[in-house]
Amino acid sequence: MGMSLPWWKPDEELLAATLAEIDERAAEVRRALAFVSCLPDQQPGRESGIPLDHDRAAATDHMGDLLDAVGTAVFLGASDTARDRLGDLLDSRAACDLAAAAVSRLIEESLSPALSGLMNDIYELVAAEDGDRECLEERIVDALAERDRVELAMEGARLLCGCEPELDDDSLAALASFDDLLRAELWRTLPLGDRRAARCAWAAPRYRERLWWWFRGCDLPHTALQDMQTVARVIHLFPEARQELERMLEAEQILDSLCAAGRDRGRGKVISLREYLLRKFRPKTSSSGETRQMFVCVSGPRGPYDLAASHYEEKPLYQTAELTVSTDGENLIVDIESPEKPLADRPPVLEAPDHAPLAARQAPEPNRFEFPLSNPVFSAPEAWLVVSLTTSERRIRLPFDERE
Amino acid sequence: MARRDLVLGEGGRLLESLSSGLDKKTLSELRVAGFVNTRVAHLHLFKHVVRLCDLPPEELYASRDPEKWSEIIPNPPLAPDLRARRRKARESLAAIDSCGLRVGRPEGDLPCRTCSSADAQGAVDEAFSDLMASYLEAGRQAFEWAKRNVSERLPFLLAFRQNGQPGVRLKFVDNRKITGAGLLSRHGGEVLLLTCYRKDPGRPLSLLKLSLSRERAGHRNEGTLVPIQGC
Repeated sequence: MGMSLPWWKPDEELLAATLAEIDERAAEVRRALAFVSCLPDQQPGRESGIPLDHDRAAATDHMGDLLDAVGTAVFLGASDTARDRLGDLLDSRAACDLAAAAVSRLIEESLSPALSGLMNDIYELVAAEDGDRECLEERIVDALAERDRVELAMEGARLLCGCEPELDDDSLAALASFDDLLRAELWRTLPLGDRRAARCAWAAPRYRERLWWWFRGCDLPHTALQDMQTVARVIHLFPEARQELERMLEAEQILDSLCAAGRDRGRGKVISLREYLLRKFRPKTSSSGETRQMFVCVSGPRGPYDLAASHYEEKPLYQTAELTVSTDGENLIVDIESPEKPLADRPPVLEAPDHAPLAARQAPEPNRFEFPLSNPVFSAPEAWLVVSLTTSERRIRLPFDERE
Repeated sequence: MARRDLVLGEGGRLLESLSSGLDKKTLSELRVAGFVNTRVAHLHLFKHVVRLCDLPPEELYASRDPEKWSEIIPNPPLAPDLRARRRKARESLAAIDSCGLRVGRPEGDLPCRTCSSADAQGAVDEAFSDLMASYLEAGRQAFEWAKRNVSERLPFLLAFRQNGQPGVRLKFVDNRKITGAGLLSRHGGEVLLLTCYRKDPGRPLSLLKLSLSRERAGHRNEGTLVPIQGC
């Protein structure tokens, strides 16, 4: 499947639907291309200098639909599979021309008309009342979904053409204009909160940043703008606190630059919890296939659930008499060991600086809880795992203290 | 059409049901009660049906309605010609003193969103009751179809939570490609619409499903998905 991130596993239903869609739409595009090639002008699309007639418009629509599915496959980390399914279309000049025309059409007919309404809605979101606010949120999400379509289509076109799609100047200018205006006001969408994170969490982690209108600051709480008002009042009442605020801003910038430098050099960097856990799960020196065989299942009192617990091996990372913390490369797993029990309605929580606390989800097995490693909280360099038991509360620092 | 309490009641059957997901029986009992409030209802009516406001200029002055209402509402109470439809609506609105959509307002202006005049809202409800009833019925039918046909492989309906709030949101699409979103109220499983319209009639249904599949996978990864049991 060509997954470059061994721990990332796409949603199975989504992947199946995407691949089925590619097959269906590719067949339509092949039929449309065969038909259009019989028309007097062999160059479909606007670059031919003639208006799109009905047949060419239909062919462009089919291509736009195909690119949506292909882009989805790429963002799921399944580009090799998508490439296999496209077959002969990959080498087709006509298909590449049609792909560029389809992306241009999406920008012109779907994205640009959404802009003015989107900006109005974004401006009104913060002050909107209940009911109106939820309606505005849906409108904003719908409008930004048009930007998703363009990004997915562009990615699909890149895969199909093997290069950047050749968009006309008007389309490029319209896209740049949309992005510039949106980028300047994106902070106003923070009240959408975890809806923003969910809108990009379907994609493999390395592609999420490409959906920047959802990804940027998606780990911030939905109350972030209200918190800004609090900060303003603090600084107004206590001007002396400004220095502390500036120190915090500077720390954020340093952390960003360290992370960026780490990405560039790959050594001596501040690593995210996600990377830390994956390194624990998968030592660098082995290939992922070999590594998986090296680990043994966590054995313990869970009896029949051992085999059913996961498709994957689990790597224990931290163990006490009351609990075991492990990872299967997809989740951070907390098992409460018998006779201990979790406190009712209090699942384990992960607390990281600048992130909203993340409550674990209950796994199908009794007394087992999971945190998906894809959650933005794992981009933090450190966190506290808080486990509430019937007899006590355990606070465990991540990364784990190796001396414990 | 006024907004109800959107917080699920403690100890309520619905809340119990939703703690582990929406089961088929609970789902089958959900009904579209109307829009979340009158402002949102009028905003949708005058945008999507009458096409009088909140549209890009090229659509605001277009004489062709991109929507084929006869595919959605049998014998729609609508003038097929868009200019005639707008003119007729303006005539009705002219008689409502406090309505911001009366003649004299700039074309495309969006007064419904900030309307707080109960008189105007009531008068508009009365003047456009047939149209609104037909529009709402189309939304109800779409939701009912999505409920009947949702499955793991066919995600015509999606339920999720947002920002740790107890209320559940729903998104749906039907075979006519009508898409909608709503809030689940605590009162007898009523769904209050936030939006409902046919956005892109030319787009294949399977791509709308793919779009909902992406959204569902995202919510699943974020832990905000409310699973629909038995699908």
